Amino acid sequence: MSTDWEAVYRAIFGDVVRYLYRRVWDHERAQELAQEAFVRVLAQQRRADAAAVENPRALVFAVAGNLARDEARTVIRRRKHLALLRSDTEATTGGATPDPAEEMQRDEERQRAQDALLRLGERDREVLLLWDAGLSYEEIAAQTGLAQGAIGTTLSRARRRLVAAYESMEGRHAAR
Amino acid sequence: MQHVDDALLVAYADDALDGDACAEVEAHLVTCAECRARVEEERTLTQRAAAVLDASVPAGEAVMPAFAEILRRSEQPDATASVSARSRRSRSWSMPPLAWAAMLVVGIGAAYIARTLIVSPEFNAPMESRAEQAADASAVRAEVDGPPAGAATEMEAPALRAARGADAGTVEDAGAPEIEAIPDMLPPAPVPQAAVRAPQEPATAKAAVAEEPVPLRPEQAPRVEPSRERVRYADIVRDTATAAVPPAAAPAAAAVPGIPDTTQGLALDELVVTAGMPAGAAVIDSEDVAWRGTSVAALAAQAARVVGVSGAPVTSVWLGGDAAAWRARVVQQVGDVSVETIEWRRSPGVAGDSGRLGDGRSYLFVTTDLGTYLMRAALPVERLEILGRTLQPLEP
Repeated sequence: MSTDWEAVYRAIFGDVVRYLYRRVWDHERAQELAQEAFVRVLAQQRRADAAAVENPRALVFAVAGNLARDEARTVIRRRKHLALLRSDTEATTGGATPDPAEEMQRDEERQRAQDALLRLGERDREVLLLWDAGLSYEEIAAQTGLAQGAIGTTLSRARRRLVAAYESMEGRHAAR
Repeated sequence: MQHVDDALLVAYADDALDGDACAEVEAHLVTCAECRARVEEERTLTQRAAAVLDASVPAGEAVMPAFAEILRRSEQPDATASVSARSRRSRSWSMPPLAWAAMLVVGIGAAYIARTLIVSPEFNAPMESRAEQAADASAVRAEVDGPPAGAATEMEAPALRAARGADAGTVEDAGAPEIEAIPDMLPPAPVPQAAVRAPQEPATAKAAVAEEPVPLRPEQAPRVEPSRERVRYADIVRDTATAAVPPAAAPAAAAVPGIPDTTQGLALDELVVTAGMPAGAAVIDSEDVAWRGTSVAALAAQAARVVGVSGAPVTSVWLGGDAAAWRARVVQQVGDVSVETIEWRRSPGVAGDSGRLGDGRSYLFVTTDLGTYLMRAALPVERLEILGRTLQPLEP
């Protein structure tokens, strides 16, 4: 394998996990799947006895995307561990927490961001996540099947909707 | 004047245009304030969207296993097989903390039957497989309700092996595990009942392991030479291999002078929950890090890293959640019921549960009521000494 997969791995592993997290919403699972994606790519490469891969990063994301899709079919999103943990410990200590407000706010922001992301259409979200993962227009086009000329407008629309969704929830939150 | 069309303009704002197209747009922008404003608007939008995207992921860095491990796994015959089987199994052990708490209540009074030391050098082996190791070591465990030997362990059992160092990239035989202990934390004398368990095929290894624990002796542990070099947290996270010292390691002997044993007579106000944190503290919860399969030392390194990137002055780091639980999960047979609990451990008498900051003043502790395994470093984390190596924050 003349592609330096180790360099690719080091360079993009974090990006792949981020990308996968927002597909499966489970950090551990995202990491497992990210590893799995690399394992599969490497195995494929070995089997195919491939020389140099033209775009290793795009290949990894394509495999990761497929894994995430398979995952979505079989796994129901788990209830967040933290919420259970919190109620558990608060019960134990009588709620004697030093400063729950800050933590709560962070959680709420995260939840809001996740909800906003989930409100996007499938295609918009995918394009946005791939862009956020560092893929180029060309790579995004190859992976999603969209025309390269459509990536920019799709991205722009996705960003606009994401921000709008997030802010509308923020407004609701503030009004509460 | 012909304005730049939307697609092109967005692409330009994203720096996604190649030379010619880029030059064309720029030529237009020089003369067109309106389009310049649009570009600015698009970039602002991009930043705001990026902020939302960032907010949607938990804090904490991904734990990246050594590449050699990935490479090794890719050489497995089933490397491209479906992950769904493993996935299902992996889920099956998950249960809410309350369930664990209930089990602890049952198990806490009973004598521990299995004490398993698990070598935990890397991160891709799910916690459950370790739990199974613990289960296997328990001679009285009536029924192993885990997966059939083979399917699940094929990937995971080898993955439990240390995969760093000279053997990186090669498939090792199932011999003695590589152990990387934390020199500072090792008790001074050999630990009589320490059982380092080499992950092997559970079915065949079960009896042998129960009878022939491999003693953990300090000399077996490769020394980690203190290093003057500037070490990145991320590298430590990747490279860290930790051996736990079993509870038989004479708590009195292992007690670190000046470090209170906070697990004894724990005052209520010391029992900090993960729901909140004092000003200036960073909380790293199992929710935020991929704690599964990582060592606590690795988590500490991660915690420090998060502190570094947040930019906020941080005076303490808390590691909460089940961060320490994997090393002490115990299976017991109580009557007809097989009970899994998390073993109550004294700390800091347990290697890996304890670290220290460079100046030696601070301490870490682990305490437990299942929801509140906590580990505390009550000092600014400018330097963090783990595995004998001094860590410094990443460059901003």
